Amino acid sequence: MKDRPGRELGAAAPIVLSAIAILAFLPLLPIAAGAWNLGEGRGGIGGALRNSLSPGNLRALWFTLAQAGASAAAALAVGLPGAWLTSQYRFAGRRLLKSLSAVPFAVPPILVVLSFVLYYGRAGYLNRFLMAVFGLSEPPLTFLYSFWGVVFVHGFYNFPIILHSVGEAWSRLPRDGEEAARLLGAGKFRAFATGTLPALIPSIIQATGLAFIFCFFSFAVVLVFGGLSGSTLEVEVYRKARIEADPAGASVLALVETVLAFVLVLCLGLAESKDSGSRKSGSPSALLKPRGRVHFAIAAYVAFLALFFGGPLLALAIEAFRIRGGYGAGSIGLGNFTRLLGGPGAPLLRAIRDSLSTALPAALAATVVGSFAALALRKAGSLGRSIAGLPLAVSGIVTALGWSLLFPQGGSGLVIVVLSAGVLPFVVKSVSGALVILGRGPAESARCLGAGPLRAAFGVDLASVRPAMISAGAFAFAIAAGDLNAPILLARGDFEPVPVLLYRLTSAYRFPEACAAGLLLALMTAAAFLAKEGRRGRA
Amino acid sequence: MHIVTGGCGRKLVYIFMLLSSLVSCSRKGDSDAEGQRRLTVYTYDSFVADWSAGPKIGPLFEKATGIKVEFVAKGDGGQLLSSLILEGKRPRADIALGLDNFLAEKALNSGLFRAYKPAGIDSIPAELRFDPSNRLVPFDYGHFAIIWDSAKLARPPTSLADLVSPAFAKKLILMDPRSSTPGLGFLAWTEAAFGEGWKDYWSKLKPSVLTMTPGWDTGYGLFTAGEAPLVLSYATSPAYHAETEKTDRYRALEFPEGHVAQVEVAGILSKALHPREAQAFMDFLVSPACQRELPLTQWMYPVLPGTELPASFSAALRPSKTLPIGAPRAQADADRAAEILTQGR
Repeated sequence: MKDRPGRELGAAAPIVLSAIAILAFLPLLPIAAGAWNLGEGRGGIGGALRNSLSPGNLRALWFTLAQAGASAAAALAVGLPGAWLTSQYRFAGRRLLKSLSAVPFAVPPILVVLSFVLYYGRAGYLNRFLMAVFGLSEPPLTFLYSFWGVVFVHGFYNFPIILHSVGEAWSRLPRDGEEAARLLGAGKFRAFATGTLPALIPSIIQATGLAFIFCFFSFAVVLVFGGLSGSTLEVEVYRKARIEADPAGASVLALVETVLAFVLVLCLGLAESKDSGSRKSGSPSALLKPRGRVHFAIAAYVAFLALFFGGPLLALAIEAFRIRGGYGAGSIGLGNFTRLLGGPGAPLLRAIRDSLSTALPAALAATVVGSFAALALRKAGSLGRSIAGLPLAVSGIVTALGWSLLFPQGGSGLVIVVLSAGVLPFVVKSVSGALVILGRGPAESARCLGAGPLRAAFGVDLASVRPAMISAGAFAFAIAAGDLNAPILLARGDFEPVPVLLYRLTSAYRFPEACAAGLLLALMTAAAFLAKEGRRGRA
Repeated sequence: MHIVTGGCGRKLVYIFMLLSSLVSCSRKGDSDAEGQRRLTVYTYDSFVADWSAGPKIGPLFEKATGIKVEFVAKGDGGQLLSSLILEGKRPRADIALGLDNFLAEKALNSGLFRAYKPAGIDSIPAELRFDPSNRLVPFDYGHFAIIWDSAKLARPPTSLADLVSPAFAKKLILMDPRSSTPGLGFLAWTEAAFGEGWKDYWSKLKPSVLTMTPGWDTGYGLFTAGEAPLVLSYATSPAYHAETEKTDRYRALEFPEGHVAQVEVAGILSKALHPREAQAFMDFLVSPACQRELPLTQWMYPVLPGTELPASFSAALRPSKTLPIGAPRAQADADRAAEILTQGR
């Protein structure tokens, strides 16, 4: 393509936005069309719309919003100290912390539920420990099955989003603002509040907003732990799409859900744009050597995460090696793995191959397209950036059902397309956030020196936010590798990525083997993050 | 950081192109052998897993008839029906396999199925053949039951009514009737047992319920992880533990109120492209050769009486009293039931 001076990349914004909106809404069309054609029962679309506003659903909506709000706040509280420590200080285990903390993205909800139950549950490790130490006859920790249990689990499930995104932004923040404030005599806290915090607000809002959306659509965690305290809209969508075979109801409710989620995304975008004044800086500041009380802070934080977040993961890992049988606790061994590796067709090896062959290209495609979109949307304002987040606001179940109706032949190519569309908003958000911090300075200088807009964009801007791109790519890979809906509805024949294998194992009584497969899935995505961190170390 | 010109994005594009071409190469092309008779069966996902029934009975059927059968997984039973309904007049399958009595009303009203009476259907017990028009033909079934972990709880409940006793406070794991078949089955069960009194029963049952999971898999997973000693499942569940773990620790409880069954069915689509092959498959599905494969793959009872059962099935419960299937009513009441359990906490 030839550079044409005077033509901004931003001119592509409407095209990019319509493409993203089409990707988000296209799968809803065949469902709505099918619903229209059927036109039977419950007064068609109008009836379904009235149905979706029933008191029960409104109560569910309130509960969904309340738990998502509290959960996002909890995730922020857990993640923010980690963002500070990992972005500013060099310490042993920092890389491990950053890569391990991304694992939950790839651990499917059923295993998250199982891991928290194994650790915090009534018969879990923590309760058994406390009962043995204090000689109790009843488990002392019973908060898990309550509203606060949901918030607790969500907080620890989603804090990596905060740790990662905010940490990424924090690491490229110039220290001079805070240093200047300190020189002028401001206390540490004041210096942080006036110098650092305002600059971090966009990334904090983005990451917390993302955590909120994830909790908004959360399903298994909310039902298992909060099932007796309330319900969610997604349950109704699920029920209409699956149990009642009522596509009209499912699509209408999914639309209602989408509009709500979109309004949320839009509000976040507006809040964020208030504070996106141009900033200097760009490349990450060098990591500091911890001194004095920082040592203590690091040790405390690592211990805190090990106890509350490492515990459940470890419990899950132990389960993967536990051979069940009879009345005892069973034995420990490799049986679950060998059965999966040696069974008919070696399902685990095949599953890993199938996972890599879809999640890798999907993540790469989303990173390339998403970074380009982020550049094009730079000037598009908050509405534009919110539209870029639209696919996040559509129910996963309905999306997958819609795509499967559009392309009934399915195939792994289609799985790649749908997965990359699904993770695209994530990449756009993450790269946009980095571009906001980068400001327009470097690219404008390059253009003054005679570079065309594309060259300025790709050569200067994208190169400067490369760490954010790689980070987004790793996240995209983790999310794509952990997705169940797309492969289960769109794949054909013997295509069986790890989440599908896991799903089939859990629906066939084989939970320890499912834990083994889940552990492998987690390690696979952790490897992606480690690789990313390794690259970063060399840069 | 140094400014790198151009390279990054382009490199990624090349890697992506390379990978996607690799993926498309590794996909198998359709081997369309000349004169091969074929058949497409839509089913739910867990039917096609390696260890499941699909890969077992597919080759058996091909050997017996020379017809190649392709199983296409469409999510779970409900998604299967949704797909069929939305594909409507131009189905890409000949048979749908894996619907059940809870989805039957919707399936029959859709007009998507044609009647066919497979050879040997008369030997299937009448109470399992709930569709007299023979559009939906049963192939396996299992009763819902409460499974008891005998290592964790000394005295099990003796009846549905006993389940509300304070002795079982927070000891029962249920599934949500709005999102899972066993959950719906439990509701139908209480409706069949208590009639109009079911709402009363559910509010009394509430203190016994530890949690209500979205699906069977999560609920049963929590149960085997030791979180609660009682769970809603199938009367055949203990057979799995007997077969693979050689233990009788988990037992299905027989309740005097009787038990409700889930009956899994298959049917030929009205617009099937290969109707004769489809009929051959339906004949095969209820034949002894196929039926004897079902216990250890589906963990359900075969519908054909006299089918030889594996030894582990002696651990399964065959209830002496069975209740009629009240599926449509349960569908309508699922919201109310969930509301009763979630109110006031």
